[in-house]
Amino acid sequence: MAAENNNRISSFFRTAGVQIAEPVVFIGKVVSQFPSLFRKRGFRRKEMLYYLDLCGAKSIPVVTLICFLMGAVLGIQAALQMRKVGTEIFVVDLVGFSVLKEFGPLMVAMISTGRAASAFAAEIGTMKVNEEISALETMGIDPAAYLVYPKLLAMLISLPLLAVFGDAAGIAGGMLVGSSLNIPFQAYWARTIAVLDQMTFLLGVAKTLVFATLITLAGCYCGFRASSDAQGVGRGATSAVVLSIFLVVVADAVITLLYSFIGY
Amino acid sequence: MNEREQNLRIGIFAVTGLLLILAMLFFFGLSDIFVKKVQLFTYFSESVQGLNVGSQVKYRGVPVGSVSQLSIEMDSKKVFVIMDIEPRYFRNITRSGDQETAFFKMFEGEIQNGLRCRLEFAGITGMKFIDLDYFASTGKHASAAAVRQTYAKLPGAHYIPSVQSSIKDLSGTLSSALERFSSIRFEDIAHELERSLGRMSEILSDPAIRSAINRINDAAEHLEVSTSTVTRVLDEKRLTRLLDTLEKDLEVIKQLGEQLSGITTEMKLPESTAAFRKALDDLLESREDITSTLSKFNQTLESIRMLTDYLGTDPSSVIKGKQAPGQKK
Repeated sequence: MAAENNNRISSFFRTAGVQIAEPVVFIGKVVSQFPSLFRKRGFRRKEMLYYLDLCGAKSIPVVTLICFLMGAVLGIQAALQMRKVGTEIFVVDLVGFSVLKEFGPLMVAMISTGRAASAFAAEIGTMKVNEEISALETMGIDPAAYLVYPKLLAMLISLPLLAVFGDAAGIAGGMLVGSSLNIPFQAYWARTIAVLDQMTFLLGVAKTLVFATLITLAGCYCGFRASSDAQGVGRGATSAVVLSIFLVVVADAVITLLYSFIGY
Repeated sequence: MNEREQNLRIGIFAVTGLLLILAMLFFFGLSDIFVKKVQLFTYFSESVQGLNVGSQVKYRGVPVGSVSQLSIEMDSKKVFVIMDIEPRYFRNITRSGDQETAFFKMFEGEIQNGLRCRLEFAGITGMKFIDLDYFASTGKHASAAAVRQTYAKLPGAHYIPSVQSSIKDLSGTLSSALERFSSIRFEDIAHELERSLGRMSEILSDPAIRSAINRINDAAEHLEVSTSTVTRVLDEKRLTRLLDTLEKDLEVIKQLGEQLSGITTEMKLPESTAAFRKALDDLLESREDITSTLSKFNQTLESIRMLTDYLGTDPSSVIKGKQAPGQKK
């Protein structure tokens, strides 16, 4: 009986160790293949442009709309409370800082999680089902680096740009609410540029570089881990979204804490 | 074609994104690089709680700059504040060539005219800003040594004296008022009041006072009756008649006055007065003669009195004559 229990406990820890070690091994594989990018034909420009289009250019409408509505909702909620004490002008501060520091980058990351992470996981999972991954390995090509880097580069370029679109749309949403509170556009804009500074903007955009890395790695990892059947691909895509959201939120909390140490 | 469309989308995405980044950087602070600024500094002897780097500096409500540095002078325990001011807000001086020189020339003049800086609340949030204005108080100047030292460190900056914030003034006034209020001996006043009320009660219960009050009441009643009688007697018609008569009488008095004035003129008062004055002078001159006459008259009267006395004692002397002293009657 005792021996059976010991076996169970050791099995649990072994499984847990494997679960923790696997992502680390995956990251190690990707990082170790980084020099291959600089070899001849190491960088797959065409694939990178494809993902840049998919995750970046095609995401502009949805990102802009969601961030605009987010800014407007934030403005309305703030105005309802601030109107009680006659401080409607501070709606500008609240919307500006919230959008630039948090909601802009976070909303973009969430949208990318739904669009990119699931797509990456499904794509790699399907390749696994079709044994294309095995074929790459047979040809001596490391699939981790071969498939991950174009996606990672595309995400590292597209997410900061999307965050800028999101920031502008969020401020515009707040401005729309401000006009309904009798804050003229000019006054709203003057207050916005008076209270916001370039460091706040840049630090918000810098967050998206971390988010882009986490979303790409989580999506690709879940794709590689998916079981080689149709249901496995679906489960892989779902777990990619869940893992990405979890990692993005945790990273956001950590980064916000780090920023607070430097006064932002 | 598909690849061309893809490249077009990526191109638009990248170019628009980069333009937005540049625009945001420009509006959120990069544009400040191109704005000409001058520095002012001051010392506050009170707490600057609520004032931060970036807090606004306003000249009569117009935001003309911001706080760029806050530090503490440990020698004097004062808060040292540096402000960045944009001379472009001062229209009349920016027309000239050198903005900085023109600004400081204007600024020195305004300091002489009483321009000072003061901490003010920016709202209910506790945030503060620096208000440049002309206040009733001229404030305390920082020590010349400290100002000289700062001039050495910040050659381009200029000093502006500060005055105490209105809240600080208010709290000072309030605390001094409270101190005075607390020094009032309420217990003694209450005791004194109690004693006074007791005495007043005693006085009021005095029979003489009561009788006086009763008399006053009676008098008031009489007065009331009289008033009603007068009211009854002097009805409107009578009153009108009385007023008419009074008016006529006044007219007569006026005429009399005029006649009197005419008579006075006819009386030739100046001439009469001169004659009177002359007669008075003559009288004064003859005073000695009158005095001598009066003295002689007195002597005469005395002689007559002695004669009558003598005749009283010896009536035969009228026939016999006055006897010599020691002679038998």
